[in-house]
Amino acid sequence: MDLFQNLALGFSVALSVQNVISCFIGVLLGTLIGVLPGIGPVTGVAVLIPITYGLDPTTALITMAGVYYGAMYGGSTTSILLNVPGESSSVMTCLDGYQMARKGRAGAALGMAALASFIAGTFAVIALTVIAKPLADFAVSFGPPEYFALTFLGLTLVTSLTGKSMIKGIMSGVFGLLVASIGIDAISGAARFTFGNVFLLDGAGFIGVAVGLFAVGEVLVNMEEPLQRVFLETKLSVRNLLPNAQDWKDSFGALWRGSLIGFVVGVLPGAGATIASFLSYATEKKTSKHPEKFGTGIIEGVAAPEGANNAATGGALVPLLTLGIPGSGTTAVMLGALLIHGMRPGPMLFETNPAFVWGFIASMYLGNIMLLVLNLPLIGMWVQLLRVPYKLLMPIIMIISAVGVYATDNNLFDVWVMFAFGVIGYAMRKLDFHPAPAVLGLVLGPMVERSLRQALTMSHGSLAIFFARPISAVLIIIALLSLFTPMVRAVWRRAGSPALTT
Amino acid sequence: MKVMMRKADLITAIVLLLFSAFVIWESSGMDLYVEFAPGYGFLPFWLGILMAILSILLFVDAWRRPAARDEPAPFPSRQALINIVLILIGLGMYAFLMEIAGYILDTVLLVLLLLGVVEKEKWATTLIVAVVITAALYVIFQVLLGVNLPKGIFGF
Repeated sequence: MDLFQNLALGFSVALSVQNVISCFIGVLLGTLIGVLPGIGPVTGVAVLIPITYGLDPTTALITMAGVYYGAMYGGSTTSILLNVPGESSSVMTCLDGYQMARKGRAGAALGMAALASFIAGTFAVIALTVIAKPLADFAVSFGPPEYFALTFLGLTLVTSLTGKSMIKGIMSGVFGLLVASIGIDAISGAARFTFGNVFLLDGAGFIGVAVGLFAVGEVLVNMEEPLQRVFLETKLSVRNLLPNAQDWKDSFGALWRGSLIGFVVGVLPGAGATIASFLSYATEKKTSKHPEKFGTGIIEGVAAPEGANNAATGGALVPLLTLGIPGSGTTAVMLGALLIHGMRPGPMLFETNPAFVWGFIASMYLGNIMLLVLNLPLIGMWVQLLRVPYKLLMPIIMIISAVGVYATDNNLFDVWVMFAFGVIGYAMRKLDFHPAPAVLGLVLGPMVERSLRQALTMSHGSLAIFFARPISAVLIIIALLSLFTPMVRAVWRRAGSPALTT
Repeated sequence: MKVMMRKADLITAIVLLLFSAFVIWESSGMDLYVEFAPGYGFLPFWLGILMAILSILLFVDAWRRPAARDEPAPFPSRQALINIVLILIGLGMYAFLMEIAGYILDTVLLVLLLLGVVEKEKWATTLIVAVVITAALYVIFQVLLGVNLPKGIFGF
């Protein structure tokens, strides 16, 4: 069967010495980033772009993706031991995980978190393996109107699902699209917004912008929130890390439902690991025979969100690989990095570069096994790591960012771009503008513009073309609904009950 | 004095309105249409218009927001603000001095500032960390990735 041939090809790529080492470094860094509160997978992936810049694109993506799904494993550790989520996707794990730790069952909670992550993560990779090629084949027939509709949908969904204010979300996306338009226009060759600066002819530079927004901006915000850490003293050995038979029985339903919910939510643009973990926790509570026990330290409450957030990362890679549309800040940064390497994810990539796609997919089977080893027998090491002074984190991230951005092109201009976007990223976070839509706009900008202009050229300037073709019509309508329903709801709510807080 | 979110939003809206006016003005000088097809000014122009409309919406939304639903804007404390400014000055100086002082000296100096001054770590520890970070990144970029990090006027 084709599928097995593809996977065999994938493993032949993923099992090269270089790729195995990169995968390991990726998942190791991912776990580290997951364990450390205050630094998330986006920051990690952004900082890695300059470092992986000189590598082969397959190796670069394997490393960056390792950070992405690895962070989901690590995020649970601090949730359980400190009641501080390592990532936003581990917030739900705090509820029952920390209570379990207080009851002396930290080992079982940590063990179940790692095993649930492995099971759901592997499930998602299998689902990705099966679904990717058919979806890509389906998308091969897409023309400019469909592509415009897809990018438009991606942008609106991310906008409507992140941040408190819809207006600010859209503004963030528009800002990203505007930054993307800096430089030489690919169609006419004319320069835009370059202000006579030769460096801007190639655009603002994705690396500087992404590292600025997500590394510098994030670190500056963290300077204001000193982290309080209270440890629960726990004895950890591999034996008390393994959940017992009763735990498995209790978690069985949560595991498969969490995997499924996580994957489906992950595939949809906009909703990511965080929403998946909330949704699966809520589902378990609703379907449980004893909903009142949730929050008191039961194992299903750990298995469900930890499974879901891992499955979601696998799901999020489906639209990224098959359509070239990222559904979240992290996948957008990964797409930006791939474009720098000259790799354009999308349906054609499966035809033109199967070794890249399948090599990457195969690496995730490997990565999940590595993560299980890193997070189960070696969990004690990560717990020790939490005692490393937090003070070191800010200087290290700043320096790696600055040196990395400089080193990609030996160009100081990029460092200044990083500086400027660091300030912008900080201001955006302070003023409640989520940076994810901005980076999505930045990455998708050229694609949005090209498909829009090509489509309008086809139709001699008429917008009707987007509604005349069934696939693009459906996508555009979903996009418009996602944009306007929250607004309509907000207006309606304000008119109806002004006292209601949002 | 506490800055409220409402006031912060009003100021942001005005700044962004000026920004969109600038975008509209710049892009209106570009080709909006070429024959029947959109030109290179088409997207920036309409994005500018959209941004302007959103700025006005944000302004109106903030203006009409009842005081009860307002919350303090999360602005940094004095100490945090000083630290942030110090970090930014450090980054700026780092970029400025990179090709003058050279990678090694410049990086050591930045760690000294960030860890020693901003994070107030003990100077002995700071010095060790500075040397370790500088050496580690030198190995990663110069040795493993083959990037030529700049030498300064002192020859290293």
